Amino acid sequence: MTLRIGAGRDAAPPPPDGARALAIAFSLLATAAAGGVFLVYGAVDGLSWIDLVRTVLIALSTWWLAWGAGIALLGLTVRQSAPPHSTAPIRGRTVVIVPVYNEDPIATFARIAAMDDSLRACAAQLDFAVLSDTTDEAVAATEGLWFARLVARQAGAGRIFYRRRTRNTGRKAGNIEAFISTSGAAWDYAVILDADSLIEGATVLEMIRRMEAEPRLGLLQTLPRVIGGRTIFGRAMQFAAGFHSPVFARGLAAMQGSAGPFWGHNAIVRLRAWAASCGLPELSGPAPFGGHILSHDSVEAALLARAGWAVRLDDDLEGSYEGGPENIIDHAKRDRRWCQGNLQHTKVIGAPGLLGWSRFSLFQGIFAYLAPLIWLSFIAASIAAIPLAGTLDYFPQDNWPLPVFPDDQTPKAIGLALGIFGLLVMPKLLVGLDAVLTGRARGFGGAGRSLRSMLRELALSSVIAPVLLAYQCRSVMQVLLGHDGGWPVSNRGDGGLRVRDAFAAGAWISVWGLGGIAVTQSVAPVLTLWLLPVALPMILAPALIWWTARPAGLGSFPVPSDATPPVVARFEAIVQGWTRAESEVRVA
Amino acid sequence: MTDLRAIPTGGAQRIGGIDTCPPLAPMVMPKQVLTREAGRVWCVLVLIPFAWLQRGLRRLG
Repeated sequence: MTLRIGAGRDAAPPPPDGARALAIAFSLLATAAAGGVFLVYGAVDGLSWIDLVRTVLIALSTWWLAWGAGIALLGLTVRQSAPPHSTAPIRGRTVVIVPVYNEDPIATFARIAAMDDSLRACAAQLDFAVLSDTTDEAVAATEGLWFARLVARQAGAGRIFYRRRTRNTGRKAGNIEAFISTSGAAWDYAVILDADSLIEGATVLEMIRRMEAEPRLGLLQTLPRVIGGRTIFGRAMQFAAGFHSPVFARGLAAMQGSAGPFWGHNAIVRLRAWAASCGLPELSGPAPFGGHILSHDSVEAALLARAGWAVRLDDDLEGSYEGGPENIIDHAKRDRRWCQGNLQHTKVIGAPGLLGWSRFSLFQGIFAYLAPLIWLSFIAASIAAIPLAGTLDYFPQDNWPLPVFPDDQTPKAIGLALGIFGLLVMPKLLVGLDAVLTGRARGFGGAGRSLRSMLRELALSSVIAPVLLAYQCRSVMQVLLGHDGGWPVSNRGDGGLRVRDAFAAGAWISVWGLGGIAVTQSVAPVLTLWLLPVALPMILAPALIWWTARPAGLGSFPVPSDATPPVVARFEAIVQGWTRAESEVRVA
Repeated sequence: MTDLRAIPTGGAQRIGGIDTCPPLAPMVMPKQVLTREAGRVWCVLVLIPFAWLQRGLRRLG
């Protein structure tokens, strides 16, 4: 593992207005171009209301794609200078918070043991607090058992804590808030983790040093690398997160400046700032829009920024890891939760005093879930436009014997399609090129293998995109219709799926795909072929869900973390030992 | 700084003879005001991006 460490960035980074303006200008230009070209194309046979609707939809979709491409371009061009190395003694006290909710206790406590070992290797010792919201009594009993084992192993009495709430008020945000309200004054900083997070000890210490070097800094977010992928879906997502995300994150960091993002975990907060700024109220009205704030992290980042604290994403910090969903079903479940949480931000976006950029970040989160609906609406409107179009009048002028043919605007339509495809694909291709040129590709198996992986991931994500689009549209509709998704337990198993589970989860998508093709064939047969790239994966959804949950081949989608970073190796060794010990006890 | 570990935890939960509760060291977390400023939302969504754009382009120029 390479860890670049330093003493924090400039105390007052220049406001990134130029970068923001460029990205906004790029996305607006692309939007105007797409809208303009489509308007000209649609006006060939006379401009109707459906053409105007389609123009607005394609312009909005293009804006979203161009915005993402703009962030990637920024990430490729911005080069943050590495901060100077610092070994200054740490003065403040830090607690590592691990909120859990019906998680596997062995894995959870083994991660804490591994991180504690990693800190010890750096001659440091921090406090840990396991904040359990577990509702399953059997799991809770096992948590107690393994906690005692953890404390004994790490000699952690009085340093490693465990407390369980009997009422899960406010879910994860409420869990952390309850802890800070009763115990927060004991520490200066809190490293907030998820149950599946792992961070190298050296990284944690560097995060603390950066907090101490910058008194205005309220929150420092790391870019966690996804680890542990075993299935085709898991490995592909892990590769995408490792290969593409750093560039997008660098662009995002440059774009957001000191009103940066918070992703809810693998971050450090200044407890004084957090306590004063991040007490979340319940939103008025019933769920899904009212009640406790689900996607609390973006709101907390906005509230810290509102109070004048800097929120920063340091993408150069390595040694920060998290798990990821191993199959499409788990991905869709997590996405359902995020969808509800992000749409709930419509009630927060107008909060008084928020920075403009924070409001825009919340808007982006909302728009991310409206974008699939906009795409679907565009497809539906394009199908409807065929029967709604009037018959072409080749003799528009009285007493003129020769026909008047409309201009052929097909090249414009093809140009527009290519442009949109370019916005989708170009950022990834440029990231691949950048990885080869900068030598970053070596960690992904070298130039050739990394580019092959990139193309495979591009193909896979294109094929499963309509399936994910179907799930996202369903999630948005469920939320808009008032269905609360609750607080489902995260599945962190091996991700494998039985055929019947895949069929049960994807059959409705097949029906919609078949229905879409049937309707198109009957009302707009000219579009049937064009619709196939979307409809075919939908029809095959159960097969795709099952196949992508199959184990990935050996060496498939190689990533740097395959070399097993020290804290991950430590975790795996502890888990193995504990699991073996447990099975021996059971046998005895 | 006072070693707050010395403060009694009060109603401590014990597992295997270990006091599991974090130290009692209260911190006030006031509830934040998030009431919507109705009518200003759309102004913010439309006007602020344009204001940034204008300012940024002026700087670049």
